[in-house]
Amino acid sequence: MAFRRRGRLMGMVGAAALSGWALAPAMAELPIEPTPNVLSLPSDYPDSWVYLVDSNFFGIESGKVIIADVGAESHQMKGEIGYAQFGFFTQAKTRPETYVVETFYSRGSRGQRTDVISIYDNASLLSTGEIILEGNKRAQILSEPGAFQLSHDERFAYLFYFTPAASVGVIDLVNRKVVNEIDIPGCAHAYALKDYGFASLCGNGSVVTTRLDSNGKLVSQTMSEPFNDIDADPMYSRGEVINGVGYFPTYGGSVQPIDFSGDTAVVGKLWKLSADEGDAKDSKRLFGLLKSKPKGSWLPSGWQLMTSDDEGRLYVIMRANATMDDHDTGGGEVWVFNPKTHELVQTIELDAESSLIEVTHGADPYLVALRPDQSVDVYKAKTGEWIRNIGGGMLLTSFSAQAAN
Amino acid sequence: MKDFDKLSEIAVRGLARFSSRRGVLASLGGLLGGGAFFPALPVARAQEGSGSGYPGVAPQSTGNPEDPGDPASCDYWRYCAIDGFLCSCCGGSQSACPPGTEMSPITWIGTCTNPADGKRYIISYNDCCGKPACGRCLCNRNEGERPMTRPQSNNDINWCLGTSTAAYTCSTAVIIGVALEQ
Repeated sequence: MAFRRRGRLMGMVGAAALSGWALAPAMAELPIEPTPNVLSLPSDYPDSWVYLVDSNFFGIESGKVIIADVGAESHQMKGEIGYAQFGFFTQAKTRPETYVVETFYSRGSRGQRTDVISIYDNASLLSTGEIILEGNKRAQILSEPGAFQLSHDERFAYLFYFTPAASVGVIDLVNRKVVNEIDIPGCAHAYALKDYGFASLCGNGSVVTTRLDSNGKLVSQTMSEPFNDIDADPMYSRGEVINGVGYFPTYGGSVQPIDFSGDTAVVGKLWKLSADEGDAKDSKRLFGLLKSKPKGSWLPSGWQLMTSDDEGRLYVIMRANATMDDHDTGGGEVWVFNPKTHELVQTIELDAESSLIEVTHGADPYLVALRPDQSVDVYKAKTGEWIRNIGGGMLLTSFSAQAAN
Repeated sequence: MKDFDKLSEIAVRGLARFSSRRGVLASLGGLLGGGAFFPALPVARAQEGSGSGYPGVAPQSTGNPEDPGDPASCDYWRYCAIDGFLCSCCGGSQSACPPGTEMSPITWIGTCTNPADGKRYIISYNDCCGKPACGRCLCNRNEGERPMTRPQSNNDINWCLGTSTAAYTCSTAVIIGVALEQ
């Protein structure tokens, strides 16, 4: 009896399968897929690629750097590398590699501390080496560009130490070893100068030039006269370097240029981030992109609040009705200046307030703006046209981004 | 000897606090200061909302009418320039670290006005260190903060310095004195 039932059931299944097979169009079977299967990237990234640096404050020991193609219609996220415990990130132009300054504990948030510069290959995103930073002195701060810079020939890296005594580590990236530590008492950061040396910004409102020889040894240190009133109108310690000149916004809405293109840092003339500055008194000259001159009290605001494009235009996040205490908050517009003439050449109204912007390389670059929900909006930089949003939980707490070289 | 050490410690800390306070007051023109290390995340601003607390976080009270407000809310008066996860939401309190953490001995201080008595109190924003980041009640009030060139007035630094681990957990706001009239 059981046999007969099973036979009847098999017959029904067989009939259904046959009828289904008969109705389906003739299709080739899907090919067998090889495993393991891991993708790789080109060594030279296209102009539309950006490094999005995520500190991940909700899990500080496991931040990450996202590589993303913001110009692509899909598959924008290309990969990631690690970025642990208040990391710093930068990329080389002369070698297909990137560098992450990071800190690890042997037991997660406890145990033995190890500070390290991790070196990653552009194509594989695999670690190809590391430089141990003895003494555990490297600064653990929110990422600022002056905290980790490469020398003009990318032989040395300059790394800000803070214990809270302030110094700069000089690291030979070719031979992969620390070669010196230079005290910079009362100062911060190491903006690379011509040849070997760096400039540090100081608490008395001056800048200190440190010159090194080809072995990374100290040659001289000189301090400028104080030029910034940090009490009344402090200069951000985060500047955008364009053709060797650093442009530093002030809380009160000016820009302080400092020329890093020589052997010694040279302080330039302060100018105002204003729609009325420069030669552009007539709004008709503003490329037709400015709907009207911004009115009211606008101040620079944000974390990575400045960036630039390959034409040397300076982009600044501006906040309406701001006070100086809003300096890190972010704003709803991006103003684009010619930093040489101080002329406002374009304003871009953002779809959402942003505290972080970056512009890609290339003749028709993209403007990337972080939204409060930590997704990124992508605009055409030259027109301000919104193109796309990239999110999906990719970033948690991002404070810097770098266009791929 | 122990007492002498203790006395010396108090004296040195007092000097450091007084010196720092003078610096902060000078830099702020007698306004506000303080903080831990987080920046002005827009998301943090959004979480602040109207300043009436965080979703899913029950209100708290000091129990002292002279110390008014909700220590589990970003608008609590002592947090006038705090920048981080509130320890009150993380197993600690506005003046104590959660169990198993370590309070950083190196910090910076500010002054906040107590609405109950109108006095300006010196607040030390000691970070608590050694456990994973709490992640709860991210609060950012950035009044009077200065750039990294003035670390004593900067809240973008991980102030878990001088502790056995620099892993940041959360931030407190400890009353350490009353500001002198200028």
